[in-house]
Amino acid sequence: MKKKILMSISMLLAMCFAFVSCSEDKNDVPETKTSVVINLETPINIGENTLTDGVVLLVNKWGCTYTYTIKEFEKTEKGYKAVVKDIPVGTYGVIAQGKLKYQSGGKEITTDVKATNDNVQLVEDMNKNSISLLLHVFTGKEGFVISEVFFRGTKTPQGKQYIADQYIKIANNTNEILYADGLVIMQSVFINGNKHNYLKDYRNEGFAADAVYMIPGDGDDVPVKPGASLLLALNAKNHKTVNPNSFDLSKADFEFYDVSTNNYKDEQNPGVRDLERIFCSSASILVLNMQGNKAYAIGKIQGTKKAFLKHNYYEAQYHNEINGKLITQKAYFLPSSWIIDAVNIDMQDNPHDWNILPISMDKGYTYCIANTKDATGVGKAVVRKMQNGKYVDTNNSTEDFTPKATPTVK
Amino acid sequence: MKQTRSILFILFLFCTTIAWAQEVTSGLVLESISRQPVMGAAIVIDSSKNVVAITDMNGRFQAKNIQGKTIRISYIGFKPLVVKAQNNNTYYLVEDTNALAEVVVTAQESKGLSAASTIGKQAIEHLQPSSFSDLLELLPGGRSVDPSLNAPNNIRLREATPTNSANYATSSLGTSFVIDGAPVFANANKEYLSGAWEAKVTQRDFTNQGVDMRALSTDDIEKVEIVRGIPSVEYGDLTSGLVKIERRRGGHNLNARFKADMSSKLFYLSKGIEFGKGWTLNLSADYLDANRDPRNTLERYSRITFSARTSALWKRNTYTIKWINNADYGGSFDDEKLDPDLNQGKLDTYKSRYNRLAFNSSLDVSFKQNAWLKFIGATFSTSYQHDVVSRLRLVQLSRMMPALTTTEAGEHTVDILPYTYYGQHDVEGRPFNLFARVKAKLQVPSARISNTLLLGTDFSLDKNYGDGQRFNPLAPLYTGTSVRPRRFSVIPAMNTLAFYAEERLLLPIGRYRLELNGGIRMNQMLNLPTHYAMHGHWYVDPRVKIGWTFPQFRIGKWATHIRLQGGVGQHTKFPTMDYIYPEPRYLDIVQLSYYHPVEAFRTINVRTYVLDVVNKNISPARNLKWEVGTDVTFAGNHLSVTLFREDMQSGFRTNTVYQSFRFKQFDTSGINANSLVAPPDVQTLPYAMVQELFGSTTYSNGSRTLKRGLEYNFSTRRFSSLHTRLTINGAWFRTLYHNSQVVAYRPTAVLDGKQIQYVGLYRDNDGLRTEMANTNFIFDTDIPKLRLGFSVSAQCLWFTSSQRLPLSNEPDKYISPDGALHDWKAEDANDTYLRFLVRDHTPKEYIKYNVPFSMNLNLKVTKKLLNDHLNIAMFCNRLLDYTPNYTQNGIIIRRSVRPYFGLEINIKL
Repeated sequence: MKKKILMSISMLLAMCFAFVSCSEDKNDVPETKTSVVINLETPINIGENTLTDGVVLLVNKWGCTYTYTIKEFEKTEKGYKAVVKDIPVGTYGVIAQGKLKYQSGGKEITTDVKATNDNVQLVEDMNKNSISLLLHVFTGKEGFVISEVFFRGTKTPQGKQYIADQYIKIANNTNEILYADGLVIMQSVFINGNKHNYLKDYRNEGFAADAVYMIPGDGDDVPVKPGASLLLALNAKNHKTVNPNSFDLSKADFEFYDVSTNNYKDEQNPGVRDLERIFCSSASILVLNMQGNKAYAIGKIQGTKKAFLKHNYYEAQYHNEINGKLITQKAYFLPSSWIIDAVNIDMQDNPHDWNILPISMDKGYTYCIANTKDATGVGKAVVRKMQNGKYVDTNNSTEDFTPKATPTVK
Repeated sequence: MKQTRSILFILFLFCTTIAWAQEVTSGLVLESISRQPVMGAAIVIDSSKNVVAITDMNGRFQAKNIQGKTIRISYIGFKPLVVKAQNNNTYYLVEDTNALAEVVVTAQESKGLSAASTIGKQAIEHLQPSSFSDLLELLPGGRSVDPSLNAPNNIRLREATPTNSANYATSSLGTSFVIDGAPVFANANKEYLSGAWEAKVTQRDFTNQGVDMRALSTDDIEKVEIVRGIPSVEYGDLTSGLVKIERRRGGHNLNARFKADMSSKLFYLSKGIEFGKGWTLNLSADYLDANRDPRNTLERYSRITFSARTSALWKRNTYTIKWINNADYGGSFDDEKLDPDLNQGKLDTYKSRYNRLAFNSSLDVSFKQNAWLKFIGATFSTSYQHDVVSRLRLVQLSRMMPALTTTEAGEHTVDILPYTYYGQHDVEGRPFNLFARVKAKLQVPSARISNTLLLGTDFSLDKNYGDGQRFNPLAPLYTGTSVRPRRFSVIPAMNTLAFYAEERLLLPIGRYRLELNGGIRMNQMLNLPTHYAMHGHWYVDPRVKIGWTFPQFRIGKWATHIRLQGGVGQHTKFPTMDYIYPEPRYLDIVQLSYYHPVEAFRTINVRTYVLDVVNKNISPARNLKWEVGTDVTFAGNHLSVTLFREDMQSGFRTNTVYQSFRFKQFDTSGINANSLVAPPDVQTLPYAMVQELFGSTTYSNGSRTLKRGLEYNFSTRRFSSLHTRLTINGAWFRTLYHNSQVVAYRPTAVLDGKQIQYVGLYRDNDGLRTEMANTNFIFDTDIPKLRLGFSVSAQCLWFTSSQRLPLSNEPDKYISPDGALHDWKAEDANDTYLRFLVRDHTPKEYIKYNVPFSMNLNLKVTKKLLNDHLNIAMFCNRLLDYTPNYTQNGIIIRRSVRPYFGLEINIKL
């Protein structure tokens, strides 16, 4: 199955290249030939490993005819190496993929890996032709998307802010049944518009979370039909009994139940399964960022929970620009390869000049309010657009989401 | 202590052996303006330069064989008087600084041995204050600040930039206010809404912070003496300073004052009546209305005071009796609300009502005879307050919350709060105080030495008869906090008893003069349960001050006086009622919180622990002060400089203590929610016993406040051609605030579904060093011909700085959930859970922040009209300013200030 998807993706990619290039004039193939070294680097958090079924495709960009496939690899210190000889100089797109076998949490794991770079220049001097690709571990659950985030809460008839009815929806955007077991739902530690010079700036490498919750299950407990979605409520009760302006979330699929021993006890709704709280920077009951300037992501943790808690701890630190004080935000970090989908939420008037997510995850942002003084976004959500029966997912929330939309839960 | 006693005894013996002559000439020496006796003036036979007598505390002297001779009466700061001696004559000394005009619009350094500022009526009138807080501008280190009347004002003497932390409030708590001889007690003040977290409530809480100066009106004040240094042992229950207020008595005037400034309006009316022989009655009333923002009428502060003061004076040949009585009412009210029209019709109010009734009576008898007993006085004062702080707000919950009604320890299935209700929380206090003092002044008659022995005792009682925290536990305002109503009246009364003795000596040694004030005060708190460490313990405050005056000499034609003085003293402030008898803390651990769509099937079970947070080892805050200084008078110009150090290591603070508690965690996973007919029964539910650490706050003596600094005041004589006097005053202060106790901290992070279960114990905790230096240059001009006075003051703040002290990041020890203590090992910093105990402070936090120079220019003008019946005055603070931008950490900080002005009319009929 996984392989099928992979193949179809790579075929699609190859076709695209071909299609685009074919529409242009067929220029002459350059006569000059060269050779290139391709380094495949394995992720740093993966130890001893072996690559099987590895394949590298080089697709030239000026014509539609030349595709080079390499299947032989040499093991190196950082990963694997392959050499292509007698290849014409010019611009290429590179796709590498394969299977990686390695140890994690005391178990042997085999996972699909992939790396792409669609703009590589090969020149005549072969010493300058070296391509490094970082193999991403990808999870095969790529069909899940975050389809809606409702973080603004509602107003009570007395005019008070009501926030217990926040929720997140994730949807199966494929044509097959997917299992959501083990999927983690996260809120970012970085804040849009709160630009800081982080000492270890991982914004481009993955997702730093200040809250990590996981859907429980053994692998086949949480099936999600094609096009169907899971409703994850902060508090899965019928909020209409408290606040007539709110919704009935008692039919939610999961709730963020926060065990606590103080008097502010979270409500555990019978009939609604609880998400597993893996990490939260605060012991109080989780509230999604009301201002709407954080990002949300879903992903899958590789390895065990224990290993994750031990090794993925991340102190997001920066020096306060005014007093120089080192500010430490305690967080957990997930590499990009573990992230399935992310949505960046920001306030409209913010400068948007400082991305808190890798561009590959989300190029844009969506919003409910213009700025902190804007009170109009209450009762509104950000909802992913649909096109031809599918959710739009171009990794650009500006395009993919309807900002300030009416929530889909009634 | 024994030593001091024996020294006193020897002094006595020494004094009694001095021979007593028969042929005597006696006289009385008074200050020319105030008609106050001058103590310690030297009587010299002009021909021989020999000191033949020294005036006593009543200004009297006796000397033999001087009748008809030319004598010279001199006292530092006064022009010497050369006259022919005649029996029973009265001599008036004229102050040499104020020789030209008597208008003094600044604080003057007191003539006593300890550092103190005296602020007279004229200075207060010129300043145009709204409340007592405004007067502090005149102290060394003071600067004009806009009145902030929407929150209590506390006094912070000799501090560079006081921290707002309640943990260092002992400085203001330990500053005693004495009005007409009666101290104002705030020891039984417990007016805080327990569990409150809203700024509008917590910012107005001044429990354990002493007197709220907003409530003190200034219009009746004749004179204030603010003792920054070491006060006489007569004054106790203080650590940091003493404010002695003397109010006006006598006169026939009807006075009215109307003042308006940018945030407040003030009305004042008073009438003085003199009748019979030596009877006076003064009646006055005052009303202040202040808005923080004049456009916002929903937040205001108001004050109402009424005062009736009588005094009677009976002069007899051998004695004088003075009897004064005061009856006062003071009301101090804060109001803040939201406009219901802008708040969906909901009520949202904060109110505080402080009503204080006070009465004091004192009877003083002064003897003119040459007896040992010169004075005997008794003071009785009492006050009763009725204080209510009240907060009303709509509470809207989004989840099930327990109604914490049970006051007993144990497991309880409790009620569940409704989702929407009006929550009201009041605190009612009725502090009652009784104070009595008897004192006597003894003197050994002597022509050589002026000596006074002050002996006294005082007793005070503080009790609070209030209802305490009042709220409906089924509709609490502050949900989630474990507060229970408790009556203050169950708290026992606090009694303190003190004895004191102080000897004041003035000894001419050749042409030098030695002044010695040495005293001892013994304090004990009575009526304490025996298990308290303070029980039965006498706290002894020795205070000694020495002054050494050089003979007058001349530089050119100008007479110069120099005095060097120094002192050291211990000061003790007993803990307040709140510190000694804190409210019992409740710990409510929710063992079961079962939510069901059907309301009837919901249930909450709570394990309640009642924690004893009484710190039996709490002890008084003690402040050891020393100071050295000098007073120099040169050609009518006066300079005084004081260098001081105050170290209070036992200031009061809160401290969090963690203990391990056991409770049940019920397992509801087996319940079939659809088949329920009743709420789950805790008797049948399975559970697991769990142990976890919970913290509670206690009071302790862990705050250190170390004050160091230099205070100076220089005032020139009034230059007659310009009608102007220049006063330069200022200070350099360096203050250290430090928590000397181990701090416990539990990280809030949640890992794998559980909050970090460990508590770290850290050695180095909050410490802050602040520093400042300022100088005020005041040019005051008084043109009697035009009945015009104005002053320009340039208030230069050279710098302020602050620097935090290093904090330890790694704990020394940590507590595990079972309550066991573990040593911290280096490798623990890598443990998945324990690494959260490492605090993330970095050296960057400890760099020193400097705020550079700034200057404000203030103008004050007074003009008398209509034969002095009408006085118009205005002030403008920061009429001009120099507050340049500065760079800090590569960032430009822009500063700006705004002028503040006011206008007033005084009518005197």
